Amino acid sequence: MLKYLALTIAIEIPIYFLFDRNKIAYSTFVLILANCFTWPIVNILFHNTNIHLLILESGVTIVEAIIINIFLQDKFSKSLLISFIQNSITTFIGIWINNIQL
Amino acid sequence: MKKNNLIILFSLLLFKLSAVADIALPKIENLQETKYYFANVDSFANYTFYVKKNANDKTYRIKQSSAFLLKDNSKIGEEQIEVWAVRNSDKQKSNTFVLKRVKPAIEHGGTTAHIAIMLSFDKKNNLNYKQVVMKPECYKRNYIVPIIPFTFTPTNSLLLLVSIISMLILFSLAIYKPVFRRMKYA
Repeated sequence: MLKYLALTIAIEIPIYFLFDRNKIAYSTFVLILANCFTWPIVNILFHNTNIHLLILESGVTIVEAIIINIFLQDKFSKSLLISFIQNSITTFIGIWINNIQL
Repeated sequence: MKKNNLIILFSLLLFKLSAVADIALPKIENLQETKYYFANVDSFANYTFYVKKNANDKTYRIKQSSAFLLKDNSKIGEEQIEVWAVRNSDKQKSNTFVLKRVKPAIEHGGTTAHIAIMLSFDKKNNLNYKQVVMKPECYKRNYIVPIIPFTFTPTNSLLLLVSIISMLILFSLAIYKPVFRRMKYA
């Protein structure tokens, strides 16, 4: 199950570096922690409740944007844009890989 | 002649009315307060079981030894619970069965009947159940009525642990981040 977490991190980190290539090690560390924080909660909620996946992913996008804004970026709008692109891509890859019906 | 007809008609009417009067009214069923326990939920790892109580119109995810009490509730009519399962692999919902209060019986003991529900699936994947009247030494243990429809399986617990640890590290980083900045600019 954790391989999906690893895959999510492997996709989201390069996307972040398309926008900002400063402090690579620190950024990578923060993004790993952000994903390790949000990914388990989303999966627990997705498998145990009837909350729609896209609603859960919207929540993840906002939370990750806040984390990026606190640790890595000064502008919240840029953090939100990065988080939105990261999570849109990983969500649709997840839907495609796991054949999830929306 | 007309008088005779009237007498016959009157007699027939009287007969009909008395016949109707003789038909007993539907008897109100005397049912007992019943507590249902789900005994073998953990035996079906591939399924998630749900219960819907008509008393509060809420759906609960049931876990091993969950218990539901059905009381006499005249406001909503007959209190009952609906039980069904969802297959985890494809989210396919099973058939639903309904549990109501039971008729009083000597083997039930006190005022509340304590009944264990043994769930099973037949070859066609239909959800079935058997009822077993419980002995006091069984039902006097503390059973859980789920408030949050959530089950923490070992996988869920591991995931939650990962999430909590990450959150704590992020909080620590957020606290120490201004210190790092000050050191950088000093």
